[in-house]
Amino acid sequence: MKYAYFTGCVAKGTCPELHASTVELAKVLGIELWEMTDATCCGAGVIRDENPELQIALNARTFAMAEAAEMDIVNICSTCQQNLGQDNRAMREDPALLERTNDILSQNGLHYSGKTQVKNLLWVLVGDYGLDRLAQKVVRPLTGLRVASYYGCQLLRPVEDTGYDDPDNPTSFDNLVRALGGTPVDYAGKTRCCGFHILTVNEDTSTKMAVKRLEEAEEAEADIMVTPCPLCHTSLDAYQPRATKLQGSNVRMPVLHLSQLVGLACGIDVGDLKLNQLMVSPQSALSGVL
Amino acid sequence: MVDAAIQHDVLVVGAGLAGMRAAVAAREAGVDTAIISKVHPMRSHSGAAQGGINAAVAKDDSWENHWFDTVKGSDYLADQDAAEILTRLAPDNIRELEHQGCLFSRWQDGRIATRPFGGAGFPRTCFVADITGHVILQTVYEQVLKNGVTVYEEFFVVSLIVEDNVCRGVITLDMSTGKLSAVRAKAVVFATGGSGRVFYKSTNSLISTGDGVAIAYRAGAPVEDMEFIQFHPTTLASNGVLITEGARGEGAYLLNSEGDRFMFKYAPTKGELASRDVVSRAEWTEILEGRGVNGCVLLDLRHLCEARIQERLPQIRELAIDFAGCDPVNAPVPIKPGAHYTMGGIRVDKTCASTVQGFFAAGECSAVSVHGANRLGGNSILETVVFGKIAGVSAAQYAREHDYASFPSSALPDQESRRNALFQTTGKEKVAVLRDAMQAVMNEHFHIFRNEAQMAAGVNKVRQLRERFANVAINDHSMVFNTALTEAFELDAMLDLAEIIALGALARKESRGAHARIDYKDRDDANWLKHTVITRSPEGPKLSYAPVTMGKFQPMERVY
Amino acid sequence: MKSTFLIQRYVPEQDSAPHVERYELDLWDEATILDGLLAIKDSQDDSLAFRRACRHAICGSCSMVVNGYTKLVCKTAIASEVKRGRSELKITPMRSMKVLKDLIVDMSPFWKHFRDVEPWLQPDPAKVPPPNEEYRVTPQQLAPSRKDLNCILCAVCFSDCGVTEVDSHFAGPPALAKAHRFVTDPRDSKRKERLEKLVDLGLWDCAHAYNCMECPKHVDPAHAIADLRRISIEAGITNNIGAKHSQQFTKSVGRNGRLDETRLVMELTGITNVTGQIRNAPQGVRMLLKGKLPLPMHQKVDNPKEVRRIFETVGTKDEQ
Repeated sequence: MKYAYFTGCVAKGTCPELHASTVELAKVLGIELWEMTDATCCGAGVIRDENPELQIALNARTFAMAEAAEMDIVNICSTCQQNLGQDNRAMREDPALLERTNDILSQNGLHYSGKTQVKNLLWVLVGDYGLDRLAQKVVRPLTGLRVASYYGCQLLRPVEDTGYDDPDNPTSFDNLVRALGGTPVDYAGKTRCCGFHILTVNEDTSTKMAVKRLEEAEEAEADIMVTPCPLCHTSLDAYQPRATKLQGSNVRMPVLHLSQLVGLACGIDVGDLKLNQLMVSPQSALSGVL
Repeated sequence: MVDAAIQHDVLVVGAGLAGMRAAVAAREAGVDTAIISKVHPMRSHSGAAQGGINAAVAKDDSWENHWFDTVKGSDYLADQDAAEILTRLAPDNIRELEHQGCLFSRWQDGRIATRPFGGAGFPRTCFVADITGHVILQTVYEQVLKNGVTVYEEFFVVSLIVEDNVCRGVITLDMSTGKLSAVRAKAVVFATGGSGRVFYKSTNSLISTGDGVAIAYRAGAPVEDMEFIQFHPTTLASNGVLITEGARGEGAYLLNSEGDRFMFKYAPTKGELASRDVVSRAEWTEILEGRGVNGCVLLDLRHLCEARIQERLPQIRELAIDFAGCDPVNAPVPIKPGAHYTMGGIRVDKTCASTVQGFFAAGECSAVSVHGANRLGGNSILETVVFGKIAGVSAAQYAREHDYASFPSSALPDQESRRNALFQTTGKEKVAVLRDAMQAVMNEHFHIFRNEAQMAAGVNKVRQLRERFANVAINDHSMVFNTALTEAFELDAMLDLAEIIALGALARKESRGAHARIDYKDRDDANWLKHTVITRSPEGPKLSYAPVTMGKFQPMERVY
Repeated sequence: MKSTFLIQRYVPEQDSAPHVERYELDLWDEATILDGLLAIKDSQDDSLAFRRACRHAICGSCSMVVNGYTKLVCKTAIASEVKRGRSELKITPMRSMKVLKDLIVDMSPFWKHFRDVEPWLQPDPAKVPPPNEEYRVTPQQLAPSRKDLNCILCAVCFSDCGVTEVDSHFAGPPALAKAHRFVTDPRDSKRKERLEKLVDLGLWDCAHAYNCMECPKHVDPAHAIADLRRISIEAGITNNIGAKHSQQFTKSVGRNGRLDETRLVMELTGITNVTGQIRNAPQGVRMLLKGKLPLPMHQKVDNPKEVRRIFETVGTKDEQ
């Protein structure tokens, strides 16, 4: 298994532990990653707001590079998944747009024919790798660990672009937790937004959203939350102390990256997974597993 | 004398197109105006109108042609002066809506586009894809907001207060609190919509229960031509949901079980685009003669191709997928005639004034009468706009010339007793059971083809249901959103209307428009070119007849 | 087909808190959730209160939350939930609005937001055609608002939106879609004034969760909001944090191909805004201590020149 690895900006920025743990996990699972060091930001919907064709052109460049390397793209971020997926569909559905975009790419000697598939790490693990196979790699089962899988919003919507699961009743993440030996927790906020995308624009509302998600997980007696997205992670973990203070909440909830959780179950060294870089220490929550 | 907590110069009951158009017109005429509606304005059934609104906006069309088509469509029972107003004012009314913001579909050159519709000699139906009513409803609601008209949402009117033939206001139930209160007005406009729910699997909304017509009738206002119920030719078998005539306007075929386009047997020139009564009878004949498909015929849009269907008829495509499990792009849609429109209503003159002083009516609850025995597709929302505005202007004028009239002291206690009776009864009858029974009786006995014996039996059955209603009990005694109570009031109204429809139909010994009798197959102008007028009396409904206002067009044989 | 409805009931005169009641149904295979509710009201419990009218997805009355997601229940088959493996349908009132009784909520906040966008055409009086003529509007000019017109104000998206849930100031998806309908109307003369007001009403507060893309009428408010943002920047309405964030973000990507979040936050706060920077400082220190503040060189693609070339071709002027 070989993928064009699209790190996105945040895994190489404020969430370095995500990139590090993903690389370690891929090694253990035997997944070969070709890091797309020349790929741009996905635009995050922000560039799309301002100039949709610019965002499409940037992403088409990324797709063209993966296509030339004959690999599908794996990403580790719901926003990357959402934006790459949506722009990919836009070009597939509109040949004129694809042609216009190729005109722009041609100045860089690139061409995109529309073949590249875009998959978040979660879909690669659940779909391509397979949960049975993954279960066989588990050496440190998450027995007794109550895990609130946080799908978030962008991973699942719009269905047509990202649709590896039912946005109104997603099950893949919980199935993965089960395969790792953990106990999935059902809670109200699992597909609701963390507020990240308005963190700098409207901090009050954004942190209210994040705190609500954390409290919903706590109410369902989760030991930890897990997210497939560094942006959700930023809202829920990196900003957790600030958000709970702003909103006067007592919630304290460790939040792991998907790669860290799977890596943990697969026996990767805690240091290599960079659990120490989490803002809210998972130490006591994970005491039964470690 | 009762103090009314609320009073307004003009009070409009109903917030569909006619009601809101009336309120805006009254407001613009400078009087204090409010709307009372049992639902939020945007929930009104006007929004369900799909295919379009007629107006001779095209250069080579003329309003006189529209006038003729309307009178012919009515089987000559429309009052020709009223139909003249409707059609003459149509183009400017359409443009007024357009100036207010309504985004009609356009031709390439930017002018308002039109499509062909049934019974029309020219493609003169303006439209917004197949959501015309919905978009016009938005436009008129926008004007209500812009003009600051007060709207009492989720207030259910239970009675119209008339004394000495002068209207004084209404008694209303605030659904959110259960409070009954008197609302005084100098002039009251009813725009309460149709009575489709008297029938089984009507295209109408669950709220189209004809309360306004029944309340006006009880207050002494005569009702007219209620026996003329339009069965729309294309409704979904599963739940009666409408598939617009615009589908046939865009070129869809009607097929029987043998795959024949049977309509040309019945309407050699117009085929599928004959008048609705003609098409519904043709379909029902095909079904009765064994050429139906599971009790339906087929509406075939496949040759229009996906792009056209998606552009012009996206809503009905989705409705067919959701409710008939059938994508019209790939398969013909099974459809059948279904109760759709009440041609009759509160009898009003061409200024929308009823015989009760200070009481006006417009839209489907009224009979001006522009539809006579059969309404043309595309004329209903036209009527709401044209006559809604006229009603608003008339009511404002009346309100300026009159003061508030005193309220009889019994008005409010009477309604409180009525509610208490429903709460306290020891009866065992259920609203839903009686409602279902009434709808079944009406469909069985007053359907597309009618006859003496069947209708006489129907009248008796309706009266038995009325007797059983005296024993209706409801379990919900709460004051907040007691929808069991409002449903009981609605059934009460519908049982009155069922009897009126039944009596009018039984008495009319001819076939005209939507009233087709197998025992009197022909139109009988010598004896029956007249309006049925039913008035409440202590002995029960009293039938009389009134002349039709004739004019330029003399009755001719009606061929399509 | 058998199904179980678990309905949240609440009668203010009797109940201190909502409770759940269970109803067993056996309806025809194509029955909708509304059919189920009507069947319960008709034959099991007439006191169940819910709004309904057209029963075919044009009046917008019957929105409620089914198993966690808001649906227009007249358009949602019971089978669609059963197929998901949920023969028990948990039905609760819409979110973000106060429950009045059972499944009926107080929609007045929703309607207030709708009114706030001044949802009526405001043409230039000098350009209104005479009564016997219409404005000339081509089908191409109609296209941008076509989806907006579908909106039936059912509030499904309003109830599912994560922002409206915590922020009563945010206009919400339907009001913004309505605003888009007028902003893109060639007959309207108040485009710029509308856009300026929309900034105050929360144009930049949408968090891109895309819940509203699953609209029962295919309105796509998320797209309308994105389009309004684009139009407002084009119209020069950029003196607000949302537009600045968007522009700085794009600029950052244009520079090196990747986003430099640290610099973005600092630029948005304003390098010279000392109080703002100090307010952000504790978070910055926390991030630094966890090794979460990377060096800027990591945020560079291999060939930034190629990226700049793309920006030169399709970029908005100000980013070039």
